[in-house]
Amino acid sequence: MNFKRLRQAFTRPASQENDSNDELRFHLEKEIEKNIASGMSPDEARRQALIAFGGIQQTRESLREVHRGRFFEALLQDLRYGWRMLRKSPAFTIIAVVTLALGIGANTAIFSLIDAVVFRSLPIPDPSGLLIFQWRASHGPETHGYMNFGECEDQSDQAHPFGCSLPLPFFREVEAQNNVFSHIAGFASWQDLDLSGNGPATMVRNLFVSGDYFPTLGVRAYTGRLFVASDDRPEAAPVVVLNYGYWQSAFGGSPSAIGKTIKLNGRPFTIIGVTEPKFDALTLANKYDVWTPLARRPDLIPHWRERNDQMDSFWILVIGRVKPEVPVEKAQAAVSLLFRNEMIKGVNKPVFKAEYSPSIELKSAPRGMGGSQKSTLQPLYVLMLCVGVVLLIACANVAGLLLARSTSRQKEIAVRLALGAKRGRIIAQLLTESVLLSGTGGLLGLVIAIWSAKALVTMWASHSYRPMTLEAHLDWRVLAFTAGVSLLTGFVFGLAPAFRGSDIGLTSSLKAGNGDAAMGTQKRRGITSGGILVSVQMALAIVVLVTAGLLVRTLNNLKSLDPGFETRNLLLFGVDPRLAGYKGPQIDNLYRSLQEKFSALPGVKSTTYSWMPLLSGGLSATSFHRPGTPIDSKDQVDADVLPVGPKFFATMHIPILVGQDFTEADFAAAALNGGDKPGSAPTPVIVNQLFVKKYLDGKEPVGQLFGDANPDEPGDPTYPGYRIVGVVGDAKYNQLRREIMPTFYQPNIGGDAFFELRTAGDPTALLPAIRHIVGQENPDLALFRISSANEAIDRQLVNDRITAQLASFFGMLALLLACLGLYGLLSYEVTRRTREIGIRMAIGARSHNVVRLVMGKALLLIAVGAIAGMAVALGVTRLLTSFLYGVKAGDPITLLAVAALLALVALAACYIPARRATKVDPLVALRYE
Amino acid sequence: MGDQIELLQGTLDLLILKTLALEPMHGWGIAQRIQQISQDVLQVGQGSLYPALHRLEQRGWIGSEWSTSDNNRRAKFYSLTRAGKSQLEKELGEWERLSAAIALVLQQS
Repeated sequence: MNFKRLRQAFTRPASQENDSNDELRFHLEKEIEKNIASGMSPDEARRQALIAFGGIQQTRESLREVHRGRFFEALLQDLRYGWRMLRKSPAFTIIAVVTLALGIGANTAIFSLIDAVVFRSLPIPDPSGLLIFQWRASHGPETHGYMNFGECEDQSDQAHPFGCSLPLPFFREVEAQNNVFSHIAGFASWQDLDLSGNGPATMVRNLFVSGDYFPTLGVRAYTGRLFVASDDRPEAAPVVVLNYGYWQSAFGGSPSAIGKTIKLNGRPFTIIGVTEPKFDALTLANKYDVWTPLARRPDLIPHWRERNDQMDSFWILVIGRVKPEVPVEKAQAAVSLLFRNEMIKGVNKPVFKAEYSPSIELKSAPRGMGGSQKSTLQPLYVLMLCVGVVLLIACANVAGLLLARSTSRQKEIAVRLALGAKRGRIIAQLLTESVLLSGTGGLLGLVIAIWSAKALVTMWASHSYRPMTLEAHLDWRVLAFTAGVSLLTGFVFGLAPAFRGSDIGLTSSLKAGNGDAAMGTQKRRGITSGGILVSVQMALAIVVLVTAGLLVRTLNNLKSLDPGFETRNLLLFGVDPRLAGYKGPQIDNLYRSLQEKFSALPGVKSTTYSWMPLLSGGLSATSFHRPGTPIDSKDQVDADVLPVGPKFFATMHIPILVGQDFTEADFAAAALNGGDKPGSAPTPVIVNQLFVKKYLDGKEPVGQLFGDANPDEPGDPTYPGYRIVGVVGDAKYNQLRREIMPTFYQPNIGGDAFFELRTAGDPTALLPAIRHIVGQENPDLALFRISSANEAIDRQLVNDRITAQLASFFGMLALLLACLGLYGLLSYEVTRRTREIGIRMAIGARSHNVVRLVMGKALLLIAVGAIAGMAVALGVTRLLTSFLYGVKAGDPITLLAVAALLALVALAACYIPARRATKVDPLVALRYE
Repeated sequence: MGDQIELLQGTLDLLILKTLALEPMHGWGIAQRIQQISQDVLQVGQGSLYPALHRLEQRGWIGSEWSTSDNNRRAKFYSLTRAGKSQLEKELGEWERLSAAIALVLQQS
């Protein structure tokens, strides 16, 4: 093989340029030499030589053209030739293209989703200049309250805490300093609002914003106007801005909405404008219907306390833009210092101790407001792994097809070589064919990707309460990814066959006969490259199948989990009377009244309510001194808390093990303690079994006392603490995956609540009657988050379910491809060795001998592939640990089951070629070569 | 020196191939040899020589190799390939037929 020619085939233009320059320079030097030798002086010699030399630039340009033209000419020629060759074998081409399309398409689809989640930039001018404030410290803060509404990635209770929620006074101070920031704004979502005055009362998603919010973002009004600083004053008129989408759906896009007065939680607000259509929100899956000024929060948030405006209540998020002449680091240092000083000072004691080094970071907003990104991204990464492996299998498959096909092209290639073609050119041409294949596969794959990405998003979105504003669309990144993957794929599967295919001993292949130098199996009985490819495919298929298997088992474990209460035939819905103007005892009276009326409905077995329904995602927890220790003990423990209404445990089918359910007196005592002047009697609570086991040390539970934390907080009334009146079975609280914690239940007083109705039949069938009852009670009461308990649980499992389904689908696809590869290889073997089989049968071999001959290799390949696959899977699945539940990454049962499945299907794939081998007629086989 | 005669590209290719049939040579050497043997009638400039050499190399009729020249400098040496040799014979045959035919026509005066 001529290495030099090969090298020349791939020489880069730059080195070519250098070569040409060197060559011309040598020529000039020789000319000068000649002139000197014939008597000229060195200067004259040089001058004459240059004259004789002529235009060197023109020469350089001509040389360049010679080389450049050749490259494109060659490329075009290769493309045309390749296209012709592919058309000649349509079956091969179609199979290869479809295989590649599936692999590339799947990868592109998943990538476009990841792209949409990660790279989606905000539809505002200069998104990178928008910064969000994030606090960071070595230890969590001592707050009066910490609210996180899911806007931003928040780890306030973890090892290296950080978060976006900040205290209002700090925000106001930063706002007042206008030497560093050109724009600064604060916002918080807090809770939904009850909107009435525009048809039936509905709940709307609201964001409280400061006056400079819209200018900070750079959002403009579509019609009307948006907030200015003067709107965000307590004495300003109450105004509200609508989301474009909400304005379209709720107000029909009518211009008359501007200036209209509607009621939010019963209070009149004037609509002053609508935001431009392309802006919906700052984070991914949140979509706001309305915006109201921060100053209006005492009006709209029930039980708003002045206490919330102190330096130790964290709830507001702050964004801003620095002035052009101020570097970001300087701004960050300034606000960080301010924050540190304020936090160390605190209110009555430090929020952050000095040694915790509290600081503020100014993060780029698009990246800082991850919000729900992580939960959406992680399953996508798992899927990306699966489709990546599937693509590798597809490549191996097509490479195998190409290797087999190159056998039939040997004559053609041998002739070309004999005629003087350089091997490098032939390899280039074969590679061009491969890239042509993968490029076509990529185009088809793009179509598949667009369709499947849409389907995926729809699947995901249909299970959320909040509509996902995730759109997978074609942007340049996705197209570049597809093109890149197609090109790479073409090289990956085309390179080896191209080298093999052009490495031919001329004489042997030009002779008539089954030349198979490419497969290299003439006399060798060992593992061939085709065989290696098949084994690799088997191994990769096992990796995907094991992943899928683990995810499916996780899903099953979660679905069959016993949450500690009965989930069937349970209707859930929420209601917030405070938004309709109810206060204090009115709320509880309403709840009792509704509870009675609901229970009276035919088809309703039992009714109750609670602060949050179980397994809804909401969680409330508290810490207190250990039961049995003095109230000011420093030994603090944690427990989950759930306020519940009457008959909660009976309705939810949670067994009461010791003691009894709450009585009316218990509710009265709790009501007293929940008001402004707590009584002296402790609040009655019911604890779960785990609480007893962990905190009571075998003591008799009923009658035990324990109390709230922070008895040394001056200014707060002394808490009367809690008294245990009963023990119930353990039940999950907010999430299936979260372990059950020690929990205590207390009587629900006031506030918003979720009703739970145990029904005889289909829960949702009772909705019209429910609505009627509520509407009769008060037309301004809106119901929200209506679903059956099973539906709510299903929603929690959406990610798990989709991931498991898709992984299984890809696993099956991988298995299919791998077995097709095996089938193809064996078929080829049988065809190739027909003569040999014929001879063996003629001298007395039986069917089973022939089968063993054929299958021997297959079994070896399957075995090697399976073992290698399991080994790789053990390593890879360790990455999955955070997704799994109830099953370990290295679970042997799953591994063995998958290996068995693979072996079974693979053996089935061997069946047809093996049968064909036994059907060989020795006479026919020996007659032809 | 005489007037410079315009050489057709095909003819130059033939001359180069013939020159290299004797021994491998660098570009400057080829031009000198052609000039000498033609008794200074044919003077090939670098502007036509090197594009021709590169084209011939791309077609595979000559090969190249960097080596040191007689005065210990780096130069690119060209040599005739197997394919080039058969091409040279083909073109020589054509040239003879062509010039014989032209001579016949010109004799008819």
